[in-house]
Amino acid sequence: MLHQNDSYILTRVNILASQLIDLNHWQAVVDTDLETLQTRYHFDASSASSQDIEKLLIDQALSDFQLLFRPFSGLQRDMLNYAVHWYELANLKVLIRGKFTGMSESTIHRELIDLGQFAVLPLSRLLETDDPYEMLRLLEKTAYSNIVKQARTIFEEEGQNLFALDSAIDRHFFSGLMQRVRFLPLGDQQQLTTVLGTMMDRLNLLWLIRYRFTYRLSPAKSYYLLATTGKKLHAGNLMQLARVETVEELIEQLPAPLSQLLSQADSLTEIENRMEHYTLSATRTLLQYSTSGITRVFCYVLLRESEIHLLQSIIKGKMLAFDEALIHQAIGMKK
Amino acid sequence: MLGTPLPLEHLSLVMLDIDVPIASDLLASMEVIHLIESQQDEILGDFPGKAYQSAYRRLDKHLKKISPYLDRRVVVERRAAPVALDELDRADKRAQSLWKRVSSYEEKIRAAREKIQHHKQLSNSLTQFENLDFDLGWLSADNPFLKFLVGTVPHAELSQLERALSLANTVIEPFQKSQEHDYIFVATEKEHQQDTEEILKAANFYELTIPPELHSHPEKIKADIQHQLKKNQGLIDQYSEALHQLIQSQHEEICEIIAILNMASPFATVASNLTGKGQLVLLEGWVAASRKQEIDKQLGLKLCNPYLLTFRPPSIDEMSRVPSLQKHARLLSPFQRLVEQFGVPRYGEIDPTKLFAFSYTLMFGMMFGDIGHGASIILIGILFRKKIVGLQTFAGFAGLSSILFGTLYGSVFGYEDIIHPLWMSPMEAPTQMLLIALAWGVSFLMIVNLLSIVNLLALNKRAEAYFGGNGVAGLIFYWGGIYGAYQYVANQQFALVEMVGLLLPLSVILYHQWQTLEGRMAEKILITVIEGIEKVINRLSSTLSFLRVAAFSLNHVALAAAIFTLAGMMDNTGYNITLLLGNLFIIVLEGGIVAIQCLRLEYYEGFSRFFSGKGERFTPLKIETH
Repeated sequence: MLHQNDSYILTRVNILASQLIDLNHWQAVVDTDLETLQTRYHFDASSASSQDIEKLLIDQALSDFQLLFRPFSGLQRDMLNYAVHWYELANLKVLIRGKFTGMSESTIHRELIDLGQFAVLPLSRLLETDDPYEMLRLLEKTAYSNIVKQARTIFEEEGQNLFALDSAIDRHFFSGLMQRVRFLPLGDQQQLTTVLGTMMDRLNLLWLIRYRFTYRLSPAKSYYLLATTGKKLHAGNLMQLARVETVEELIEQLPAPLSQLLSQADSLTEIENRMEHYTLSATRTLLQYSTSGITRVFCYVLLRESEIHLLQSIIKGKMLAFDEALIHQAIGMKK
Repeated sequence: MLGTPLPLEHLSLVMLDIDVPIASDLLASMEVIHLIESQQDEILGDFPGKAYQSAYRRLDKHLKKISPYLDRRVVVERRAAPVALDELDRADKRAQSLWKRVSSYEEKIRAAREKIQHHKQLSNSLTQFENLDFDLGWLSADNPFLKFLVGTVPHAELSQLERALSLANTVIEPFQKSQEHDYIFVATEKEHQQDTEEILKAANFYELTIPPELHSHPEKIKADIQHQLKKNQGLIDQYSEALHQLIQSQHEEICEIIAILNMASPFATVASNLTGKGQLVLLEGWVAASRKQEIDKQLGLKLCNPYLLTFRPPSIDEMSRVPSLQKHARLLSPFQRLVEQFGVPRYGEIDPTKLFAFSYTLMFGMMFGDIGHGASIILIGILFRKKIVGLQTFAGFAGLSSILFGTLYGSVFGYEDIIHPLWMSPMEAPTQMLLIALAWGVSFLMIVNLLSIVNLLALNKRAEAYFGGNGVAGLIFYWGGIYGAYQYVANQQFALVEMVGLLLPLSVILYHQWQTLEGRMAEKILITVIEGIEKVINRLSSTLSFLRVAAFSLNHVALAAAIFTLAGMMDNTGYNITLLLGNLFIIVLEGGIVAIQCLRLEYYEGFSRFFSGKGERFTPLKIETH
C-alpha cells in the first residue's frame, strides 16, 4: 500500500519522467535543427562551449533532482544524495588528472561541474593547491582518503596508467552506494538492487572488455579493477570471463540474455550501444512499474544522466556541423 | 519620522589607467562608493585590471594557506602609496616560495607519520609471527619458483583481492585483523610476481618486511622497531620545529606581504568593475549625494592627470538597482538587524526600522506588562550582552516597555496587589482590552496601507498605488469594512451606504486585478472571484490577528495566577521554589513566545503589505584588513 508521501513522490517523478525523451524519439531530436535545440534547452551556441552546455544540462537536472529528493528523509535521502555524487567523481577525476599533468587552475576549473548543494568535496580548495602533494594531503581529509595512497604511488611512479585510479574511485563509489542500499527497507532494497545490478552488469562488462582486449591487462588485474557484482554477472561469471582470450569467446560465455543480446556484435562501440539500450529499457520499465518511490526516483536519475550525455553528443555534433550518420554513430543509433 | 534610505547619485569617473590605483585607494579610504559593473561595456569593451586582480587572488590564496601557521599577532602597518602590479607579483612570488617551503615540511611530516603507522603495524604483528611454528627466514630466502609476501590491506579490499589473485595462481591467507586492516600472507608463482605486486599495490597493500632473525633475536627486532618509531617521531619534531622557526624568521616579511595585500584590495575590487579602451578607464558606482563635493575635492587633490567626473540622480528605470544606504542611531541597530532578516528596503522605499522599533516595543510591553519581569529582561540583556550582539539594547527596550505597562497594570512578578495600577489590570476588563487591541490593529493596518501607497508611488507603480489591494482603493475598502462593521454592531444597521462603502472599492480592486490578468475568460473569472474572497477574508483575519495583543496580556495574568495557586498548595519552601521556577518559566517561555508573536505581527501583518525587502545593501569599497 502506498503512503501519502509515496503517492506524492510517484506523481512528482511521473511528471518529470513524462518529460524524458523516449528511446524511439531520439531520431526526432537528431533531426531537430540547432536553433530549435537552443530555444528548447536555453543555451546560445554562438557563445557557449560544449562544456558550458553540458554544465547547463547538468544544472537543470540537478534542480529537478533537488525537487525530487525533497520529500525523502534519513537513509533514503542519504542514498539519493550519494547517488548524485557520481558527478562529483567526474570532478575528482578531472582534478587529479589536471594536477598530475600540470594543467593550470583555470583550465581545470573550466571542466568542473558545479554541484551546488550536492557538493561534498572541497573542490575550490583542492583546485587552489599548488602541487599534487598538497592536493593529496587535502584529499586525505575527505571521504576519498582511501584512494590517496594509490594516487600518490601513481604520481610518484610516472608511467602508471591513471585508469587504475579511476577504477578505484568508481569501485569506492559503487561499494558506498550498495552499502547505503543495504540499509533501506527490504522492498526498496530489492528493487534498487535490480536497477543497480543491471547498471553494474553493463559497466563491468564494458570495463572488462576494455581492460582485457584494449589495454591488454592480465585476467587477474582486469578482474580486480571491476566494481561490485551485478545482476547477471556475479563474481564467478566475471572471474571466468576474465580468463577468456577473445571477445567472441567472452560473448559466448555470457549468461542469458546477455549472450543473445550481444551475439555478432562486431566492435566495442556496438557492444556498448546494445548494452546501453538494454540497460535503459530495463530502467524505464522499473521507472514505470516499480512500487518503490525511491527506486523510481533513482531510475529517473539514471535515465536523466544518460539523456544528458546523448543530448550533449547531438548538440556538439551539430555545433561542429558533423554528418548526421556520425551523430547517429556517436549516440549509438542506426538511422 | 520614518524616512527612506539616504539619497544617492550615480558617479561616473573616466580617467587614465595609471590613475586607477590612486583613485581606488582614495575612494576606499573614504568608504563612499558602492561599485557597479559598468553599463558602457559595449563602447568600452576592454577590461583593464584583470592581471592585477588575478595577482591579488593568487597572493590572497597563498597568504590564506600560510596564516594558520602564524602564532604571533600580526601587526600590519598601513602603507601610504598604492601597490603596483609588479610589486603585487613580487609579493606573490615571495608568498608562494614561503608556502612551498611550508608545504615541503608538511609533506615530510606526513611521510614520517606514515612510517610510524607502518612500524606500529609491524610491531602489532610481531607477536603473531613469534607464535608461528614456521621458519621465517624461509620467507625472505630466494626461492626459484615462489615469492612470499606479508603485509596489510584495508578490510574492504580483501574479498575482491582474493578472487582476483586466484586468477594469477596466487594464494592469500589472512592471519590477523586490526581495526582497519587485514594482515595477509601472500604466496605467488614467480611468473605472476609482477602482476600480483601491481594488483597488491592498487589494493593499498602495505608490505611488512619480516626480518629472518625474528625467531633467533626477537628482542633485537623489537628494539629496532622502537628505534624506527623514535627516529620518525624525532623527525616529526624536528620538521615541526623547523617549520615553526621558518614562520618566526619570516614573520616580518609576512606582515609586509599582508600590508601589500591590504593596500592592493581596493584596486583588486575595483578591477572587476572597470571597463576601458586603450589607456582610458571608466569607473562607475553609487555615492551618497551629501558627499559629492568631498569626493570631487579629494580626487582633484590626488589625481595628477586629467579626469572626467560626473554625478547624476538615478533614473526611474534604474531605481530597482540602486542600493540602499541607511543611517540609524546605534540604539536602533538590533531592530535594523531584525528588519534586514525580512529584507533590505529598496531605494526610495520607506525604511520601516523606526516604525518597527516603536510598534514592536509597544506591543511587547502591552502583551508582557509586569514591572518585575521587565526588570528581569533588562538584567538578562545585561548578563548576556557579550554572547549576543545587540541583546542588551533590544532587551532594554522590551524590558522598559514591560515595566511601563506593568506600572499601568499594577503587576510585579505576577502580584497584582503590591502596587495600585495606574490604569487597570487586564483581568478586570478583558472586553476593554480586546477592544483596545482591535483598535490598535486597525490603526496599524491603516498605517501600513498608507506606507504601501507611498512606496508604490515611489516605485512609479501608480495604477497599483491607486487601484490595488494595498493602494488607495484597498484603504477605502478597509475603511468601508470598519464603518460597516461598526454600524452593524452599534446600530444593527447595514444599509445601502455601508454596502456601497464596501463593494465599490472592492469592485475597483477586482477590476484592476482583472486588467492585469492574462489567460482564458473562465480562468480570469475564477481568479478574480477567488482573489475577491481572499481580499475580504485576509483583511478580516489580519484585523482579528491583533486580538492576540490583548489575549497575551490576559494570558500573562492567568499564568501568574496559576503559579500562585500551585505555590499555595505547597509548604513554605515549596511555595518559594514554585514561585521562583514559575516566574522563570514565565520570563523565558512566555517572554519568548510574546517576542515571536510580536515579530510575526510585524512581518506578516505589516512588512509583507508594504515592504518588498528586495533592496540591495549599500556596500562601500573599503581597504580590506587581512
